[in-house]
Amino acid sequence: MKKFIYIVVAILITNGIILGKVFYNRTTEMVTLDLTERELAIPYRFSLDRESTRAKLNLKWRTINRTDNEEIYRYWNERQLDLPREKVRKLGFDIDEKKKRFFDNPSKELYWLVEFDGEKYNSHLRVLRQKLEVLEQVKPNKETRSQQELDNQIKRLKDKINAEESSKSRLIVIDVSAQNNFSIGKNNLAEGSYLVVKGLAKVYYDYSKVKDKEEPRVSLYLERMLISQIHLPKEKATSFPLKRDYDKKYRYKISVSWGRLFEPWVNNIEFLE
Amino acid sequence: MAIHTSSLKSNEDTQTSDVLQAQSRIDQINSFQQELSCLEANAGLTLSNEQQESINSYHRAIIKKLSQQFDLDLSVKEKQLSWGMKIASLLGALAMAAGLFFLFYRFWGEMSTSIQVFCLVAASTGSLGLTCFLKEKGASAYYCKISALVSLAALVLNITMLGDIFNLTPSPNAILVWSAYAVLLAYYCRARLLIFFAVVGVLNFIAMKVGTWSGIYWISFGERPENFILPAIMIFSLPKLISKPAFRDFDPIYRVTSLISLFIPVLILSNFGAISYLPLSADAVEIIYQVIGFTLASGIIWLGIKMHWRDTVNTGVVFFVLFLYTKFFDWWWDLLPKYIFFFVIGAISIGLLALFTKIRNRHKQGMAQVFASNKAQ
Repeated sequence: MKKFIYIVVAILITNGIILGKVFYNRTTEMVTLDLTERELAIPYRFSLDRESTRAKLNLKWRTINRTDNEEIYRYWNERQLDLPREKVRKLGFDIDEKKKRFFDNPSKELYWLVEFDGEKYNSHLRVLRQKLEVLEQVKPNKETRSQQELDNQIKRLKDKINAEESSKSRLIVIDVSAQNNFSIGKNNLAEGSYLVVKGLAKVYYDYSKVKDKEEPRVSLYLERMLISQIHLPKEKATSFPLKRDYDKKYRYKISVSWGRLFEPWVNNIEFLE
Repeated sequence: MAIHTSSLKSNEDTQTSDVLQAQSRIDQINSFQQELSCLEANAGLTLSNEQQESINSYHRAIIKKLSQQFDLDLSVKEKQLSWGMKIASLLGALAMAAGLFFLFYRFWGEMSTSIQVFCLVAASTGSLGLTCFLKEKGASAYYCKISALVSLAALVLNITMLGDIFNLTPSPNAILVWSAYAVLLAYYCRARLLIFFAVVGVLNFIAMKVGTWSGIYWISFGERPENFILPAIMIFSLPKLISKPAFRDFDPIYRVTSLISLFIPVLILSNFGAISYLPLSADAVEIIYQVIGFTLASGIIWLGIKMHWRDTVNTGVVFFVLFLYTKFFDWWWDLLPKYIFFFVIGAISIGLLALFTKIRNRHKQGMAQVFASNKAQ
């Protein structure tokens, strides 16, 4: 009987520690963001997960780094952060001659500075719109660009702008650090909001466009945020769909807060028409 | 042939806390009974009724005392049935644990947060209570072990689901908690499967910590197989330091699991040196680990023979063969036509068989000479 009591107490203490951590995290709201279906996606459920009735959303984020690269590399490019070699070294990565293969490089836990609907996103949108204006002024030329090529380019750019305005995530990772020591100036907060999360990154050596004997370009490949899914409590998600139906367009706004330990929770869910 | 016995006095101390010793004694008695029948039928041995009754009552007393202490197999048939029961209880335990997981998965979304937390805690403590109840009431060990495994599954679910509900950052400390719980239940219920889970958990936890010390994220501990070497050596040494006679049957689990955790990283690094911590070229790392692999396997086989640990000898042999065949593959797969490659492997295996047979025969001759000289004396 004694042994049973001791172990039960140990189980209760373990649960108490976990719930205590949750309470500590939620004592301070570091930031609260109103995210939409652009940033919080209903996941596709595979295999055994189909049985689960748990409502959860995937946090979508990206970088805006290599915008001129081809669309087929979009997923890869939207996870790259170009940083100076010295900064990568200061983050604790060993930029070593011998281990330049991508999968040999270890992942590190870093603090990510994420901007929501801020300067980086809006300036990128401005640049795209300017490009469109310029392209629409261009006259076709038999030697350089035919009318059809021009029309295709304009259509692609319009699709890109449309995607940026309506479907792509506005959570943009703009910086990383080994310590949480980002200095966010007051003037920056005027446009958008800033969020600090923990995530994994590893070094990537880019050998493309590198001539002989030149050092490869070093960048960071951002693998994933440590918390990439957000649970929706039943009290707030009674009519939320559990899995994505590709024939339907879901529109919603979810108020999410992040606490002291960089762990999020949902405050409110609102369905939009 | 007559055997002179007056009355057999039971001076034997049947008090033992070692289940292996107790089972071994029962097996010895059964073997004696079978040999006695053989001698009576073929060698003209005759025991008087008094002598037979004396031996039988002596053995009955021992069997009775040992059966009261442990759940033992008293005959070959019982042993065979025991194996069936072990397999059935293992499958039952795993199925019940999986069922518990999916039960929560299925009805999760129907519950509010507070009910979810309550259910998780209740499942952990309730299943523990059931395990203790079955143990104290003296129910069959198999039911107790099934309940213990379900209880471990409930605790894993408890901590994992709390992490999901409250969007907590994953932590390796959860594995330590699960392993500690598995150890407690394993020793309480004498469940070797739980000790296996506990050893695997502790190995992984230490490997994760070793990995974080080297600067990598803990989940990526598998990217550097060397993280497993130190914990494997620690776990292998553990039975020598803490083993209790009553739990000697746990020792092979410690040894085999830790040896597998030691050999697999060596095997991986002997073929893929690029993921080593060593500041050397991949080729140099592979050569070093190949040498280590063969030396280690040979050493483990020698240690197993010296300490009479059959499990250790078998594990060493398996990995020695793996290392050997991996080298053959490296040398000859591209060089030789495939049919010649496999014939060469077969010929080498037959050669090894012939060598072991020769050694075994030499050993038998040696034993026969020793036996003959003892008889002459």
